Amino acid sequence: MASPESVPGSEPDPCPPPTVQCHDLVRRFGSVTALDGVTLTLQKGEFFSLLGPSGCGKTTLLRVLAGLDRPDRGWIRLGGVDMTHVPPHRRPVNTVFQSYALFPHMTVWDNVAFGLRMKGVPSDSLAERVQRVLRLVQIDGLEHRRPAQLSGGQQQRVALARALVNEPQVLLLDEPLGALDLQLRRQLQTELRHLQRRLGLTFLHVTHDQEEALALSDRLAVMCAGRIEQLGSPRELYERPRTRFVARFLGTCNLLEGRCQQIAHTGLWVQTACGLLEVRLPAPEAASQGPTLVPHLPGPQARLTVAIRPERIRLKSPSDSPRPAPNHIRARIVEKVYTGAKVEYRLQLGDHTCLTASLPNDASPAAHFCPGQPVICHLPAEALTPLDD
Amino acid sequence: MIDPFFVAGRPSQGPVAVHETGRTQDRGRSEAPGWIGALVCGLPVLWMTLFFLLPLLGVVAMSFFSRGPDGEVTLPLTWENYRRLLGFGELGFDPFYPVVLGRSLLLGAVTTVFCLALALPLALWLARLSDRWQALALTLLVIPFWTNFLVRTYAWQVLLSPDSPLTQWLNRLGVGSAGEALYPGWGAVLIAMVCDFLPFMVLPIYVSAEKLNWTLVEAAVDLGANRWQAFRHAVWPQLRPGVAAGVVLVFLPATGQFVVPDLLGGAKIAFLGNLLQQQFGPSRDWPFGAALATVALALLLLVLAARGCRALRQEAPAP
Repeated sequence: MASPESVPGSEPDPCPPPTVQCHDLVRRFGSVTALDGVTLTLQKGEFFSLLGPSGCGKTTLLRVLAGLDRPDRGWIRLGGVDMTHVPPHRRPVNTVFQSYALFPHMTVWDNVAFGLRMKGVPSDSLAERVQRVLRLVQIDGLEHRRPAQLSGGQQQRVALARALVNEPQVLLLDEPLGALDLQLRRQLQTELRHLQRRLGLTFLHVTHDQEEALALSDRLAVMCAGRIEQLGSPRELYERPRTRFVARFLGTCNLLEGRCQQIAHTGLWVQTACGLLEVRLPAPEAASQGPTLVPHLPGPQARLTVAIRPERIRLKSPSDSPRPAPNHIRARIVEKVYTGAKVEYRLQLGDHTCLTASLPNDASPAAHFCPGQPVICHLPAEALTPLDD
Repeated sequence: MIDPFFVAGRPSQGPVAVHETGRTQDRGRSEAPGWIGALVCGLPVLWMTLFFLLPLLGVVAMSFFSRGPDGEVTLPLTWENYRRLLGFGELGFDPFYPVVLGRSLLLGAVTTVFCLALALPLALWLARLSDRWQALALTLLVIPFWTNFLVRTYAWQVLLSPDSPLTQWLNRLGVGSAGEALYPGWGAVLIAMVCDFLPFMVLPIYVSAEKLNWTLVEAAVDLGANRWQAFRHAVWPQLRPGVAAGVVLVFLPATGQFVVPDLLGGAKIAFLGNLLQQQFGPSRDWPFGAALATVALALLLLVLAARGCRALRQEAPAP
């Protein structure tokens, strides 16, 4: 059974089938379409994140994979075996629930041992496996506590241990860190990543925290209204968003409207209200890494939106570059926000378009501009990305 | 919340737990002025002491008196009533009274078991209905209470009489032989009892089922539990408080029930309830009736105590 799509970064050895394959999954709740044709392939040992606003269908996808919900259409294979109609208790998949869903009437030990007991694992190897996983997530010593006697972070670890002890083919994590405060979340993120690397397990992680998704994942998918909007490595998605939605959802992004003037192999020229901009496309060898890097090229004179991240904009004093140059636009600083490590400027261009630029707070003159001051703003050609819509 | 004990690499020992128990205890204490509290608590306490506790102690005391020739309560003080109850009467050993006691406990237990078996699925189904249907279903459940209890019981006499359509239908299903009515007899008693007491079992279980955390069921299934195991480990522990309340609410009154056994049992089978009523009524043997009541009360208190002990054990933190 060959996968219908090519998988970026797949090994040349075709023998092991992908850990997770799902094809054209559709799930409707009444008039709401929670999943609208989702196709996804995960390789073994991959840390994959599903990112999206609430209600975009990411949790539904997780539940369909776990078997807690049935798709209206499409199929699921786990390790090459069709699982579309297999009940949840016979799937080699475990879930870490957003609310942890620890059994309140059981001790930590009994919670963690639950899955193994259901499988009828003999008691001596059960005790050893439970002990090992408790050590792994660093909650040994709390075995006899009940969930209500644990802090949020400890409960999270128990939920993780309870799933990991079953050695699932895929671990599904439904916003596992969502209920924790920021500092603890950052700490557990690192631990989660180390754990996943050490065990070589496949993690499918749902989150709406874009920073978390970028920091943890090997690959991620941004979902919107039941569809996968874009799928790729964190760098691809952040630096080469293909749609407005992805550009805006991952961090802040400046969008400039224009018309396509000239198309070359390496890039295109876009006429915007405030000047001609050169947009350089990624080199062909980078493009060959994955299908998502090849942008959908517009026809000449087509309307086009280009995106640029605030931290890629360079600011200069007008006295430094008196002559007009490509991708250099005159602007005025409207507002300055000092955030410690960075300085953020709101810029107004000649046609009243507003841009946000974020500069490191260093000794350079650009960090010390004042509101009202005219500046030259440089949008580097390689930092501009054309969007599909 | 960051657990400082944990970050330090040492598992924390109890501060969270201590904090939590402390808070729950504090919640019960009110800050209202003293005299209001005294009035609010004092009046019911006074009422219960005067009209419940003292008469109850009177009944216990009366059980040690003797019956006079005309049915009056007289001295001497004696254990005779309890000896009779255990079967050691004037004419040698007679198991009549122990059997009646046992039969009543059995009636209570069987009624409870049937009610539980019917109430569990019913309550779970109720809890999963949409709000509007839930209100309707709950109303339907308690509608029988709008009819007088005696009327309902007499209605069963008619319904279960030999030539009623219900009896004929039951006979066709194989319940009892043709032409033979369930009334009077055990069957009629049981049917009426289960119908009377079912709401008392359904309502507390429904309260538990309504706030049931279904994510726990999903977690159990996700961890490899089949339907039965998921019920056993994820649903049942959550329903247990409701079930315990329902069992107490059904078992205690069902054991002491005498109207239904009397009217539907054909007054041929003696139960604790009608035996009691007889002692205080036709037989005019109040001391013996008091002894019966005391023993019944003691047995039922034992049931409550057993349940209380279990509840205490479960709430206590694990060692």
